This record gives sequence, C-alpha cells and structure tokens, in this order.
Amino acid sequence: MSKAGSLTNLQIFFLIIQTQVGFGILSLPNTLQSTSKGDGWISVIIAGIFIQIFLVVIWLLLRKFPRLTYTEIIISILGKYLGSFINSIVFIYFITTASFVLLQFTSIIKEHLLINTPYWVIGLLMILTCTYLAVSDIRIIARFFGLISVLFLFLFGISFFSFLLPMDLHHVLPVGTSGIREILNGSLDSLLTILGFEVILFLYPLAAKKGSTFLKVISWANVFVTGLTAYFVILCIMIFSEPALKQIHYPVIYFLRPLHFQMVDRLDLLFISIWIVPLTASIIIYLYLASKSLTFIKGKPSKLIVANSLVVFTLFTIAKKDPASLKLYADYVEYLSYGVVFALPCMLLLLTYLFKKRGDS
Amino acid sequence: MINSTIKLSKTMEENVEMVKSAFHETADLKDRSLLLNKTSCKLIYIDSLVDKKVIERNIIEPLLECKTETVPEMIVKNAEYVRSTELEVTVKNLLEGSCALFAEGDNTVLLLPVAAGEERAIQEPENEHIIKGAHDGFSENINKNIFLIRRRVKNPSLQVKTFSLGSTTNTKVSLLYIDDLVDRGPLDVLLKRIEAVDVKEMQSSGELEELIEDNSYSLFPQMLSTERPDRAASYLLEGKSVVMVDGTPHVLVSPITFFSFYQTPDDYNSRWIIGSFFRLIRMFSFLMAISLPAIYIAVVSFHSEVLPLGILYAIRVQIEYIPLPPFFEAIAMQLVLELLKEAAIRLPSPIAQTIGIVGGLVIGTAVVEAGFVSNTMIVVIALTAIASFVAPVNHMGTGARIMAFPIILAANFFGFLGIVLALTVLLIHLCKLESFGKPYLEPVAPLHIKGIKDSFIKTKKKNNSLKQS
Repeated sequence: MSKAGSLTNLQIFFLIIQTQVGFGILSLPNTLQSTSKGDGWISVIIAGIFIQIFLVVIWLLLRKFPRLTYTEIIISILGKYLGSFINSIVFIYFITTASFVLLQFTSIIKEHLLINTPYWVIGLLMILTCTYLAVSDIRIIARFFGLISVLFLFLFGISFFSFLLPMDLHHVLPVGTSGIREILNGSLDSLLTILGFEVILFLYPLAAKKGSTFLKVISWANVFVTGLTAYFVILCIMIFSEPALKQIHYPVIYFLRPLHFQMVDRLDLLFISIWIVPLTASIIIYLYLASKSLTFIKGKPSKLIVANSLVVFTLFTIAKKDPASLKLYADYVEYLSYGVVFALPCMLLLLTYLFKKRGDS
Repeated sequence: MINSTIKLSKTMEENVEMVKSAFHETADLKDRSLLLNKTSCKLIYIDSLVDKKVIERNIIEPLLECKTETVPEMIVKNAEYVRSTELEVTVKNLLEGSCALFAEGDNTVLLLPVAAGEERAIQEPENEHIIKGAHDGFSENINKNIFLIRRRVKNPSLQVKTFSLGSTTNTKVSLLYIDDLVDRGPLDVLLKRIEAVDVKEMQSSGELEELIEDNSYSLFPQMLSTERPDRAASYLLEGKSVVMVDGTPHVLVSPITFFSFYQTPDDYNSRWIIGSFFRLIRMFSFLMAISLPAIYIAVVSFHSEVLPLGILYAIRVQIEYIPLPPFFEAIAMQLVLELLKEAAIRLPSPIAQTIGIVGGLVIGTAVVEAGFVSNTMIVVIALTAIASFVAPVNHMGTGARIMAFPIILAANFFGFLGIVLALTVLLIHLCKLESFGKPYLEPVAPLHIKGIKDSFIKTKKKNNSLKQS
C-alpha cells in the first residue's frame, strides 16, 4: 500500500476512465451520423490522438508545479485577481457540466425506466446519492470508482451479445467516403463524448508516482477510453443501417432490444439501470472538482460541496428539458470546454515558458 | 472506591480491619489465624472465589509445619506471589481470587493466587460449527483462552497486553498480537481507543466493541467476533490483533475487512477449488439477501417487460387476485420470518421444531391458500431468508436482512432506479467505512490484485522452501 494521502496508478486510471465514460458513448453513433457517418470510428480515433496531444501539454504544465493543484497553479501564474476570475470560470464549467450530465441522465431515465415520475424527483434522488460520496476524501472516491469499474466488464460482456445480430461490414466500407473535412467535424463531436480527462489537472499533486509514470497512466487511460468508444461506434455502425442510425437516439442501448433470452427480455432496461452508476460517477467527480476550484471561498469543503450540489440541482430544475434545448446546452458546454480544458492549459504553459515560473521555488 | 494512597500499617489487626471495611464487612470474606515461628499471622480470602483445598495444601500445611526462621514466601507452594504495601492492590488481588497473608509487625502483605477453577470445559462453539478442522472453542476464562492461542502460535513474539476496564466491574481485558507481523497503524489506534475507555461496567466483548469501533451507526460490524481459537490464531498470523474480555467466549479481531465475514476455517481445510466455490456462493448470498425481494417488486410493479411472456404470465396469474400490493406482501412476509426466527431462537429445541413446522408449513401454506400472499412471493422471501443465513457470522446475515427493507422501499417507489441508487449508497457507505484506519473493502477498494487471491476465492497454498521435484 502506498502512503496515506496519495493515489496509486491504478486509482488514477479508474478515476480518469470513470469520468470520461458516461453518457456520451450511448448516443455518439447517432451524433456522428450528421458528419462522418460510416467513418465515425476514424473520427473517434482522431479525437483520441488530439486528446493525447493535450494530455502531454497538460502534463508539461503540471510537471512544473508538482505540489500545487490546478487552482493554485492558475493563481501563481496569473496573480490573485485575474487568477480568481479564471478560477471562477473553471468553477462555472464544472458546475454546468455536472448539471448537464444530470439533465441527460434524467432524460434517459424518464425515456426508458420511469415515464411518469417528474424530472425533479429523479434529479433529487440522483444528486443526493452523488453528494453523499462527493463530500468525502478523494481517496474514498477513488476506491468507489475502482470498485464500479467492474461494470466495464459487464459492458463488454453485453456487447458480445450483439454478435448474435446480423452485422454488415458494408456499412463501414469503403473507408473514407465521408471525406477528411467531415471526419474532422465528426472528431469535434467525439471530443465532447470523451471529455472528462480534465480531472488529471487536479490529480497530479495527489499521485504517488509523478513524472513520466503519470504520463504513462493517463495515456493508457486515454487509449482505453478511445478504444472503448471506437469499438462501440463501429459495432453500432455495423448493426444499424444509415437511415436507422439517424433515427435512433441511443444506439448503444437500442441494439440490445432485439435480443431475447429464456429468462430475460428487454436487456436494454437492465443495461440502463446498471449504467446509472457510471453516470453518478461523472456527476460526483464534477461536484468534487467544482469545490476544488473555489479556493478563494474559505469554509469547510463538505459544506462547499453541499452548496455546489444545491446550485447544480437548481440549474437542473430551471433548465428546459425538450430535445432542442438539450442540444443548445450541449453546445454551450462544448464551447466552455474548449476554453477551459483546451485553451487555458495551453495559455498557461506558454506563460510559464515566457516567465520561466516554477512551482518548486 | 478505595483511596489509592492508603498504605498498610504495622499492626496486623488494623490491617485486617482496613480490608474488612473496604469490603463493607461482607459475609464471604473469611479469615484464619495462624502461628508462624511464634509470629501470629492472619490469612484473609473471599470464600466464594478461592479453592480451599489449594489453600490447605499449599499454604496452611507448609506454614504450620515450618520450624525454621524464614519468610513465608519461601515456604508456600504457590508458583507465584506478590508482596505489597498498598491496600488497593490487596483488595484488587482478593477480588481476583488471591488470599492475603498478614503478619504481626509487618507493614507488607503477601498475596497468593488460589482462584477456584470452576468453569466450562473446552467445547465446540455452538454457532460456528465446521465440517473439517479443529473442534475446540474459547470459554469464559481469559487465561484458558490465551492458552488456546499460545498452544497454536508457539512464538516468543506473541505479545499479551492486559488492561482492567470498568470502574465497578474491574474486568480483565487482554490484547494479543504478534510483534513481528502486526500492522502498527491499526494497532496504535486500537491501543489508544482501549486506553480511552472509561465506563462503569464491562460485561462482554460486545460492549467493548461498541465503545471502540469506528462507526457505531453502521450496520456492518467493524470487528469480527469469533469463538474459534483456530480462526483467531490465523488472523493473528495475518498481522491482526485479538482482544479478549474476561467472561466472554467471543474474542474480537481487528482490523477486519468485509470479506472476512464470508470466510470460514473450512475453506482452508478443504480442497482449494471447493473452498473458492463456497466463498463465491457466500458472497453471492449477501447480494441475494439484500436485493432479491426488491428486484422482484421492481419487476412486477414497474418493469414487467423485462420478463419474457411465459414467465410473466405465470407470475401475473398468481398475483392478479392478491388484495395486497407486492410491497406489503414482501414487508409482511419478511416480518413474519423475523417473528418466527425470534420465537424459535430462545425456545428449547423440541418446541423450536414445532414453531418451525407451524410457521414454515402451516402459515406458509395457509397464507397462500387464503389468497393473502402469492406463491412467488413465498419463494422469493424463503430464498432471501436462506441466503441471509448463509453468512458464517451471524451479525452479517442479520444486517443483510435489515438492509433489505430500505431497498424494498426504494424499489417500491422508483423501480430499478431506486434499487440501483440504494445499492450505490450502500456501496459508498462501504467505501467510506474503515476498521481502525484500514479500508473496510480492502483488497477490492483500494484494489490490490494480490489480496483478491485470498478474499473472494482461496488459491492454492504454496510451499515456502521445499523444492518441488
């Protein structure tokens, strides 16, 4: 066992993949139909490569400040006032992302499991469960995330059932018909799906093994998530025809529907029920990160997280729940993420090179 | 309480009076006058605590026969003795079954242990039966219990620390650990907590457990209580520590993990594949005990489409004419089960069998024929009950049955979502729980691949040094 207060490599790996894999993967094959179509899997891989570049950028930045969290790095580079301003934008990003995941989650529950239960009841149950874990230490969160990663085995297991269905390789072939432009557009859509690697910004000071080991761990996590997503995208493309895929909102759930067994019908309902757990994981980590980025408010962290949950729940309750608004919110989150997750670390890294700042001094 | 500063005086009569008044002139405090080399002596003991034959043979006889000039401790046949000048020590030793020898003109007292050995013989524990393995169990005598451990672990690094807890009862509590192997962190926490115990009475290990455990609101026990010396010894060898309380046959093992509650010594004594199989069955039984009724309720009242038509029809036909909703059926039957168990547990076994027949057969059949409860529900509840009794440690099974109630409630209101969220909360609770600073779900969360080998399953034991040919 490693010393207290630090996270092992495996725990960091699970924290990253649990944050990344959540809601997006369920609907990605459908989203990609508007851009790269049959070449969607190439888009996912390109997005993975793109993220890998950013992982290196973030790692270069974090390596210079091995003992500081992201919030403290921002303050130390940009000064107290500008830093606090940027931190509040980061905070808003985490809060809106949490609310957005909650929104997506309740809509999927309402669509499949509990058709008549009002949104706010489902949301309240969910946020209460999440707050219960989010108030605890990151090591406890890491324990929980490691434990529920067993569900990925379940996900793989269930995907093997799809081999019973008729598949057509011609939906994928010929490779590259959509054109480079569309494929790149598709990878922008995929980026939103595999967003969540920003959790590493806050993990570095807690890691037991820093330096190149850390880069290795986050790279493997990225490879795992990209591979998983590409696998499901290609599976859905092969199972469904193009027009069908355009109609189906959640292809990953839907391909379970035609499967019938002696004891269980409707495997899709069981799948959604179990998939609730990884979704809670995403909300939990965003709640936790939001509290971490509010360093200028002094107070007990647990109280701060409860307050954050309240904000998330309020945002969720006042948000419009129709599909058009959901799409709009998705765009907002996407633009915000470009700023916070991609632009900000690059800018910070550039500034550290210009001013030759180091965290050790 | 006696003032700890009181010293004994030089006059014998005064000392005897002091002791007698410290015991409030109780009737079973006896004294006997002796003459040793012309000095008059007095032997004081509590009649009910001592073995009089030992006093006669080991103390009185040699003292009376002695003709040479010497001190009494040279003559008595006892293996150990204590000399003290303090009244408090005298009283404490008398209460533990010693006798006190006062001599005229001497301000010290000779304390000789002669406790009576009335106790239960070593028997196999009633509630921890095993098929293959040792059949001895702890008893109420703490020294005998330590002996049982020492006989199994013949190692000089086995440490025994003794405490006296409870200001009224002065109960002896011993802490055992193997110095070379023990995990220091949890041991220090345990020591600190035992030292901080400040209560009037300490009757059993259960009371001590409640005082020193991490989270008393949890349904999960954070110390393992066992009556089996082989089990306690094997935990000692794993670097855990054992707490014994005088008067209780249950010893407490800590730090402990969730998975230990689903292991038995049988696993280690049988073929490893068989051991692993039964471990997995037991873990599965825990999940079944907490979630089976909830899943049934969620399926029949929310998500009937999950079942294929054939099975759904078979269930629907039965519950169509039941006046109660499945939720009340389940709660009522769970409560009936608890009633039957509570009724049978304390009755002598012939009557308990009658209760079993009346409860299980008569009520079970009649309640279905009367149309109150469906047959499927009876099957579900019976399976749940059996699954909960599979747990080798009784606490855990009872805990699982109680945990089933909130999950049933959640399933009744929110279907699968309710079950999943309730189980998530349970899992989060388990992740948060610690036993003396050690995570409760240790080899799984945080994950150690090597630890898994001995928690879920039991892998083959390897020889250390023998060359395999």
